[in-house]
Amino acid sequence: MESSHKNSFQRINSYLGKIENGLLCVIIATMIGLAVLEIVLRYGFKTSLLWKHLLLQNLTLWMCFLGAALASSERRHISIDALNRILPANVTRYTGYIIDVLSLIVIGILAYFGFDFLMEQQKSPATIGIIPMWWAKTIIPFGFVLMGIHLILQICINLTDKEQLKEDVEGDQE
Amino acid sequence: MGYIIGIGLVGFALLGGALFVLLGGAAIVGYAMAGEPISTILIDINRLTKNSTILIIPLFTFAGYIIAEGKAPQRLVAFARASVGWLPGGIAVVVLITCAFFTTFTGASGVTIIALGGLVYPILRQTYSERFSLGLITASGSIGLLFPPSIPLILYAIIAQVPIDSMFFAGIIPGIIILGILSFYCSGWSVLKRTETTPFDFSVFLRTFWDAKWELILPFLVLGGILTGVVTLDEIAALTVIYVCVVEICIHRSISIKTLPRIVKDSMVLVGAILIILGIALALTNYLITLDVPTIVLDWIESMTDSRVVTLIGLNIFLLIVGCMMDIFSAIIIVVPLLLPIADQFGIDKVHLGIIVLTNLEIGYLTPPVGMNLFISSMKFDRSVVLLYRSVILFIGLLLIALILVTYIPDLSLWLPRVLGKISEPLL
Repeated sequence: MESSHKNSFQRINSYLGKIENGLLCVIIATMIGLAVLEIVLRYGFKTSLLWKHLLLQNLTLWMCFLGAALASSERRHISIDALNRILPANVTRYTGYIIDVLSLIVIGILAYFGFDFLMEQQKSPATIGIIPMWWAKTIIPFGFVLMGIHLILQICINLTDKEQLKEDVEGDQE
Repeated sequence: MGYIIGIGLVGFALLGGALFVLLGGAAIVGYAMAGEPISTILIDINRLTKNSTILIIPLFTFAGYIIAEGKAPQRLVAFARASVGWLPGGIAVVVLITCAFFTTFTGASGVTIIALGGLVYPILRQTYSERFSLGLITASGSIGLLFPPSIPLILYAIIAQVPIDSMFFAGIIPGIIILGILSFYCSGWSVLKRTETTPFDFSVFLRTFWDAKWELILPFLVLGGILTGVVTLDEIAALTVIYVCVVEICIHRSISIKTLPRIVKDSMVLVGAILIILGIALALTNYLITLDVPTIVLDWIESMTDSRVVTLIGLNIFLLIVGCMMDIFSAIIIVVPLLLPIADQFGIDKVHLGIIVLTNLEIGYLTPPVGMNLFISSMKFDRSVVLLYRSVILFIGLLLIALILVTYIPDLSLWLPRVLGKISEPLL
């Protein structure tokens, strides 16, 4: 697990994950800050922030996609995998690749139509405070793109790890 | 064609494909075949943001992970031991109560087994057999989901569109019944086997209570906040995060600020994984509604029976299978929209349905051959899954008794929220 044996795919994967993690920290802090601010404004100044709800809702959207991207980077998405609990490992290794490629296709399609959706959103004049609403929606296509990148990196990591494995075995035989 | 795609999707799921990809793929195929624009799916995902209560999921989950990370488990076990350790079977009850408390805040029961299992297993083994200890811990991993503010309760409330506070109060009595039945069994077992007990020591009780006081009052603070209505639910969630940060970082100093980003990561991986499924499931549910699938399912059930009791039995069996295959979050997201019209038709209150669903899914978690907790325990304690099958059978039986009570006596779920004015008059 530790860094000494990390290849470049693993390194990119974890750097990307760190950026997502950092953004998530900022989002959580903002959410908590907003709640406190709202309470103070309500009881201290009898007023409230009009755009607070819109902002919170879109922060949740970002949270959803960044969290899902992180889940992709660590292969921790929720799955059923009842068969994998029973099948032997050398079978699941190959089915794993098929699953990954199929997943990549679906994520790719969602990302592609996500950009379509974004184009539509761009036409809308809605704003959150002073921020155009469609800025907030950029996370929808880019979230899927991030998930796709993580998945590609994961596939590369698996492939290169197998090479590593083969070399090790051959090395032992000599 | 439809069958091939169907079989392909099932195979994809069983071989470990991510559930959100599966649902996304199904939605893409569905919309494409119906000639609808695929970007509709993205519009539905964007609808996630229309529901302002969703944002309490990340905050409560984050708070739960902070509690799990600190030394709270040790303090809670020490307090539970001092307060009920003198009872016959007291140690087992200690484990039940601590695990329940913990699952309430962490939501997913796997977390409880991993976080608490290592701590309580040696304590149990001093008195109990390996089989009993493993069975108890594995079963304990899923009780507590019915207590507020557990994430599955919130998720159900969002999907079924019932007020969250009514769900929060509905779960309390059924949760206590489950705890009570399991505790009663453990005590009885211990009386028969004449296990040792620790004498009650008031000073130890006071000291451990004092150590754990900040965690112990948290559920009451959350419920109090909801009942008084001084702050909104999302503000309660934010305040809970601040509270647990202050308690664990400043007062107990059991975690440092530097570990917070990692806790953010661990908790947000879970939150992201749940919300992305929720978003895409919204799209798929819409598609299924345009196809009239809920009505078809309802007609099918009506053609089989017109009895409420038979429907409930069928519902129980179906949910046990679902709970065994899926984790609780995705099971709620996917199955509940299909169940709502059925419940409506047979006069089952939505709040009561929620408690039935959650209790069933809890039991499904431990049901052989593929219940998730069995595998988590098997990994955590390095024991064979077959041994775990044998260990949990008895506990499953006990939980089924609780399930029958909860399913067929609606008032267990509905009385408390009704008394507190959180739901309207009973359905007849």
